[in-house]
Amino acid sequence: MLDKVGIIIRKEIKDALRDPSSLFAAALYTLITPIMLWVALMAMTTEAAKIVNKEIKLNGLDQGSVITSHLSDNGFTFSEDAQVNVTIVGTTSEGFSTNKPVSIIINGDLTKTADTVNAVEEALLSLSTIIIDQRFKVLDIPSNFIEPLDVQIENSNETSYQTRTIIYILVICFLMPLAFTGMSLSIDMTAGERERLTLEPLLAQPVSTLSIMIGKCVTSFLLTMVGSAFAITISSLMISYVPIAGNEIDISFGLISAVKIFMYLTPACAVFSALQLAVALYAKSYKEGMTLAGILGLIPLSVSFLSDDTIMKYDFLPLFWEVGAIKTTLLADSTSLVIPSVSLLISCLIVIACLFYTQRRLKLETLLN
Amino acid sequence: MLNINSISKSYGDVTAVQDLTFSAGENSITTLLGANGSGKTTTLRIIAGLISPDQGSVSLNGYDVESHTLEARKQLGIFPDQFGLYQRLTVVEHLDYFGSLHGLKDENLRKAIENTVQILEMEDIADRRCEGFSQGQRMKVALGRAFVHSPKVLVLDEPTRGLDIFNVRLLRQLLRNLRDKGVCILMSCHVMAEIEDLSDKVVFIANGQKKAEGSPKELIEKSGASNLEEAFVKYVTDIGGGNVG
Repeated sequence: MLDKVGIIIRKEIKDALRDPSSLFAAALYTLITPIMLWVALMAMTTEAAKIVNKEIKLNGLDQGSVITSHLSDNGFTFSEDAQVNVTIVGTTSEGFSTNKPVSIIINGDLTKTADTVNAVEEALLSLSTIIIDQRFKVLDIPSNFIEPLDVQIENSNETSYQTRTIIYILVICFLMPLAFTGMSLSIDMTAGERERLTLEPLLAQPVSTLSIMIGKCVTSFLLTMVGSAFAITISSLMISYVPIAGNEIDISFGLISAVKIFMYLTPACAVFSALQLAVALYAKSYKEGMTLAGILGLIPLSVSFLSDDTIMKYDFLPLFWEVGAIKTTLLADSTSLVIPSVSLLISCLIVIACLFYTQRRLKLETLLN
Repeated sequence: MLNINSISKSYGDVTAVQDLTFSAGENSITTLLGANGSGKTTTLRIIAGLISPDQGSVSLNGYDVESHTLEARKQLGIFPDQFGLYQRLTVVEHLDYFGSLHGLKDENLRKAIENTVQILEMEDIADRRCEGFSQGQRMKVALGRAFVHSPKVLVLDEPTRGLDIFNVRLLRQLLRNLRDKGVCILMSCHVMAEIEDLSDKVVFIANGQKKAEGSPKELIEKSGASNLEEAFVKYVTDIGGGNVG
């Protein structure tokens, strides 16, 4: 039996590698979410590292004053062509000596140069604070009088919002291949074969329907695993190349984590390969198979959106355990994982049930035709 | 040797085959002749073990198709009414796949493939993928797939359909050669000239029932007709059931 299964796997892989549409679909579904991840990461890090244009035009009589030097110390440069105008009304020496506020007008397009305007305002307010501090010191007022409240902020959530967002996207990245990478191939191997009339000659060969289905299921499973490996590798590379440090993103995604996640996904890949074949054989046509398999593919994506509490509550179910294990790994959580005995058992039962159904269905194929 | 013993098959209220009995021996070509929907394809599918009969039995070289399905299929080469080729596989890969499924390996497999390619004059297309093949080329591949493993029984469902005269001649010659090598050949066909020329034995079927069987000459003589076509029409419409010879 095993040699026949091997022959079928070899043929199916050869056939799949020559099927541009199946390969394109597999690549697309595998890569689409890592690309989404890339966009999200870049948006986060670019926002944080945005460089403000600090070029301004300084107007007024008092350009050599303490204001000028303070702005200069804060990285501002002065140019006649700058889009933001900073005008000092009067002179600072006159204002300071008479204890009258020095009026400064920051003029700029608040649509295009808001960042520069805000940066100038921030710098000038900090200068104002420095001057206030100096005046209090002159009056011999202690610092604890000046700042009666010492407010400190502490984050009670160890995982930042950014980290959680990235982990959500990563989980989708990993579940997407098992939902869709092998889909096109599974349908091509079953409903597609039926439509191309190649199933009947195959069924007339001295090979059991169970061997045929195991061969097709293993092929779909292998392609799905390759898709998963790609998705994990690409996501890992993106995480390592994007400057996430300093952006409150703390994800543990090295080689060991990647290997762990790949292993966690193995049972789910087998389950979805078997389910896709069952759905494709149940369908009356290739088109119907695509529709049903597409709906089936929504299941893992739905699970990835569930809350952590729900995931943990139902971790005896296939997919729930996998999602929980992936999140735990990415967070470098020291919480020991529950051995997936029940989940694994259910996964095995689903695969066996699908194989039983598909081989029974295959026996009826010629009758259905 | 192929023995069909009193098989019947119904699909709901429709009876496709009813109490059909006949045999096809080695070194002979037996043809099932019947109108469309007479039960020929159902009979061939039952012989291939693709459909279980409601009653009766089929044996291929002594192996019962129902109880020893895989052993029986090893004796069989099948040429279905639709060629059903894998578009992305080459001719050699087709032969390799189906030969392997029949247990051929290594040198035996390689020789079987070479031999099949040579017999069917497929050297020029051997390494080409089947996508875009002409009807004749597709027929050759399907036929090669059916006999690459040297089956004892070859079943063909309307093999000459859609073929040009050159391919019909090639097929005819090939079937004669296989018969001479001891292969038991059973085919369904509509072309009277083909049947008269090739068949050692003809089985007339109508409404899933056997109406007559015998050599073309015997059937013509017994019916009093001038040719096989007339004999067939007479048996199916006038005379009723009966065996010749």
